[in-house]
Amino acid sequence: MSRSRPVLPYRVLPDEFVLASPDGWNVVVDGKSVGQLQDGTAFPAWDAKLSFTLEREFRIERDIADELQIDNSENCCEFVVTASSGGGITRDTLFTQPVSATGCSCVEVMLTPASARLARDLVLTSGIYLTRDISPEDPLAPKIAGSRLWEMTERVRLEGGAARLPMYEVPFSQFFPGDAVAQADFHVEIVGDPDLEIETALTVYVNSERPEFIAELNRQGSAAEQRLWNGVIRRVLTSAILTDEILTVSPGEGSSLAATVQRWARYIWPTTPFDRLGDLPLSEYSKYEAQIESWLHSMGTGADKGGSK
Amino acid sequence: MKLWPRLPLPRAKALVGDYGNRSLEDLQGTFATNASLKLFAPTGGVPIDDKTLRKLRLELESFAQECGYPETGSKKDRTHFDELVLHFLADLPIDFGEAIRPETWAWIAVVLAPHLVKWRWMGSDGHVSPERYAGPIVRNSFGRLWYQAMALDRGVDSANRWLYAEEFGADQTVALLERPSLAANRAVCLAVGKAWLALPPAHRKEELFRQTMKALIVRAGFQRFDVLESRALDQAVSDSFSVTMRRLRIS
Repeated sequence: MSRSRPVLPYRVLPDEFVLASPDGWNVVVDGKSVGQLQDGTAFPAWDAKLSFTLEREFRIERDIADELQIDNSENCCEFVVTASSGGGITRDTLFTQPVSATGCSCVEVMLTPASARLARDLVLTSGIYLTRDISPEDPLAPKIAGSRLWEMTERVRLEGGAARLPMYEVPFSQFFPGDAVAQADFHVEIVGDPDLEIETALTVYVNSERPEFIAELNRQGSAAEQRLWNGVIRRVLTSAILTDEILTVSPGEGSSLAATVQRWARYIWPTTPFDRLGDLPLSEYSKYEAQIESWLHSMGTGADKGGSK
Repeated sequence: MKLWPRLPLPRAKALVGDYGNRSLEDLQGTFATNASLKLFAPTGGVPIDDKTLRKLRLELESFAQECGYPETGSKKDRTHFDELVLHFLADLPIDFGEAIRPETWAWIAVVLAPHLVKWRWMGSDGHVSPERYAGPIVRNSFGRLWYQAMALDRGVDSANRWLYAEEFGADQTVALLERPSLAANRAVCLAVGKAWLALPPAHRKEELFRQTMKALIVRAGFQRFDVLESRALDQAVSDSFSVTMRRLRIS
């Protein structure tokens, strides 16, 4: 669970001040509970036509006015849930309810995100905010409308309609003419922009002209599946090491290309500085390959298909 | 739901590598020769038909021709092209989930209408930044216009629906829309437009806009704009412009 932690110029409510129901967001479809969504998990049943409601209870455990040292506190706070999607490209307020600044209270949140306005991810920010300007005597008390008093942000991956890591079945002879890969089983392409989310930066193609490979790939746990994901990770790592930039930039978002590749590299070469990794394939190529292979075997399937390991 | 073709960004960037050396006429033929470069989401709808895609291309070409295509034209011509495309894309029947994917706009820019991208963006050396074909939405030639339309739309019932889109220069648009913590909420974008146009024209300097957007980002760190009612939001944005004007000694 991630929480915004800006250094604010006024007193705020501690994280534990509000207790969110621990099971996460209850997903309701056609009046029936179909599962729970928690921070960092996926919502595989989602698609752009799904009508669903999210429900959750938040308990405010203590007295807000007392905690923040605000007086004249009537009707000054509200509980709000906003939803952003598409990597933050759009944001809507889905739930607003006044909360009392005095005493304990319970907020039963029920919100209905419009599936047609969602893609890729759903980031829910629940918070308590000041609704109006107030004039408390305490100089450290919040004063202006919109002041962030308590916030909690959770991200859920929307996986319906597309695999998290794009994988396309295409005829290599037509899709990559002149690249001499027509007989390859799979191919990986990477955009060299380290800040892009991994599902945008990385594309896996499997060759529809290799039907035996595809057929085996479709069997979960098959050797073909393991070879594919091992190959994807090897190629991404090697590309990153050879291009240098992906390993030397600040990793940024946890799901970015740079963050994912740096995480993999740190697992395999925990003591080697990133700027020295480029030497490995040049000096001891076989050892470099063996080190990657060893890590992949230690991971069991060798697959971190979405890069969230 | 109609699924639009997608072109993964790595493939798109590989393809545009030689676009700099190709003529507009040559690029115009890309749609016919790259028919196989159409990838769709594996589930969730029905792939859009070729007839609709061809119609889209014709519409975009007609806007370009209205603005002087294939002649190089002036900056004003290219700005006018952007306006026409923005108005058109605002009402394009494309599902949100398709439109927010950079891969969708990459397909449009790299396969459907690369000649228009090159015409719109090429410098004197014929070079076009690959981002205009295959960058994030806010950089893609067409994706950025769709996003602008979404963020700056004052509503179909408004007397001047595209007032802010027209009054913002390219620099202002970038300064606002490339900051998702502001731009993701249309109400914030509209408040910025309102405050900007309330300033005397002589004060509307690019530096003022840029610095105010930075100030708003800082302010948003402790004041959640999303929860403000309309009047309070307008006031917060207007105050930020005023403070920045004083700081920049604009009077």
